[in-house]
Amino acid sequence: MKKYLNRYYLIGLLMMFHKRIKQYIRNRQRRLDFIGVGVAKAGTTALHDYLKQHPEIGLGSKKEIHFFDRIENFFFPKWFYFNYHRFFNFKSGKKIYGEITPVYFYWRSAAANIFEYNKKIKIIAILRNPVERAYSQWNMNIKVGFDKHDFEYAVLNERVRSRNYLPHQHHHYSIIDRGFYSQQIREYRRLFPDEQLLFIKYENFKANPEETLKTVFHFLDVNPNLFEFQALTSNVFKYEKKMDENLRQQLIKTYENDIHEVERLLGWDCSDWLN
Amino acid sequence: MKPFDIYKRILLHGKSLFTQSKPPVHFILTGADSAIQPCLIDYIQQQANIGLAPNPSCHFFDQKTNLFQNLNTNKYIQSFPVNKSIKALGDITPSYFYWQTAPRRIYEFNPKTKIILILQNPVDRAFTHWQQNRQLNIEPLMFDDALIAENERAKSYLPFQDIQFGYTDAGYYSEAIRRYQRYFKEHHLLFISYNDFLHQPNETCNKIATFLNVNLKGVYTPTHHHTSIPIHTRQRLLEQYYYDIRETERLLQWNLSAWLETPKTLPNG
Repeated sequence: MKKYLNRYYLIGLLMMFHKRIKQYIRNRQRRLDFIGVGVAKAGTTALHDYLKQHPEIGLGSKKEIHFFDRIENFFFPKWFYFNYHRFFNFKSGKKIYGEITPVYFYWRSAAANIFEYNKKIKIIAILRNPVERAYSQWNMNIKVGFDKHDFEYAVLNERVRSRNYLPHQHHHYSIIDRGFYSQQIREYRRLFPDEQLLFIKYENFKANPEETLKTVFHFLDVNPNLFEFQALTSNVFKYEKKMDENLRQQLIKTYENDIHEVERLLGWDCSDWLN
Repeated sequence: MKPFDIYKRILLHGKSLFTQSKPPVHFILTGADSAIQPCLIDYIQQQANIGLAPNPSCHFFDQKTNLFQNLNTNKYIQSFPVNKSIKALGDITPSYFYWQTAPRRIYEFNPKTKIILILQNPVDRAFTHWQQNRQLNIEPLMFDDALIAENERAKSYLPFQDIQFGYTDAGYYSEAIRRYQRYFKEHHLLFISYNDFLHQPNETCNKIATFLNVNLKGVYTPTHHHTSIPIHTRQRLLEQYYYDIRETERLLQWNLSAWLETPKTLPNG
């Protein structure tokens, strides 16, 4: 008996039955029903906190799981979903399960990976004025300690600084690059049908969260009457000074065409982003 | 290099880090499909200084694979000619411009590759792409119907892009340019407009020669095919591309107002 308990024998067993094991796992595993993809600094934490209060929605044990933006998780794609699903308690009997990680909207390979994971998944994206978003992210970077330089330096040297991290994208220095939404919208539309996509404007969400939450619940097919609304404030970093006006005008010029493209794609009115 | 990359390389290739053979490819020529004409490829192939991969469009960096899987570069490297007179080795494949993971693949292969990108008016590009497909007998639909059917057709290729019938999707240049600018330094990139190629072929050839540090002999004479797109479809496509063209103007600091004009009369009568 003892001679069969070595690793070679065990690996041989695994290789013999790997198809059956794989099938068993695939049948047993359930997939998530929705995913929040972004954008960073656009109220995703608030959305997470609101969704947590709904009795029919099950969320992960932490907010940002960062699964689809890491290629090492896709060496054996279907096997590694274990690693993802350990954050969820599927036995808790909720109607739908989901997760929010704001990098997925920016990460190039994430959309295709999500598509491979579940073609019928529903996707929620909150979009914010890219200029304000960039400043907010820089402010958070300073407070948390990811960045030491001032905003102008961070804007002008973004490409040079993030080049050291190639071929990977940079999480913290990419404050301007994340603001070009149109290509990513097109990418998600290419992969998923329109019924599975929900784009929310951050300014609307902030002004009246109750109404936008109702559209979200409607989109996710859960009962909105089970939810009692209470205003929350989460993840707030105070600004120490305002943005420089010249720099703001420059940034608006860089984003102008892209904002118009977003307007055309989604049928929104984003004139407040351009002032 | 992150430790993870080292593990990945050892796992997949069984090579140690230090004995990796350096890739010989010096330049890559991509851009709009129809702007890279067979006569241009012939002209470059005739040069004694330049060696090309045996298949002019060998589709090496746009394979349908997961990003984690490394490409098998040995065969690709061996396919290039070996000759003492050759100063630059290159690969001409138009679809690298459209393919999302191609710049990353090229960067992983050789970060100092010089890249030449030829841009053409996206509306004309879509039409000539359709014309080429018609000539190859792949395309049963007329142009307007093919544009409508594009989304349905692309679904069978998901999550990858549709190189064959992606007529409009391949025309969004701004993101493609940004994609290359992220990975490569400014002096490794050369953008050329197709109109320059038509009107001043010799000057643009000289530009390419100085960019690649080689001598180009002979005269290049491009052939231009007139496109006869119905005016309504042209206007609709131009509305679709308007902001993207403006964005490419801003990125490259070119004047592209000629792309946005609609011809008042049909070019053929």
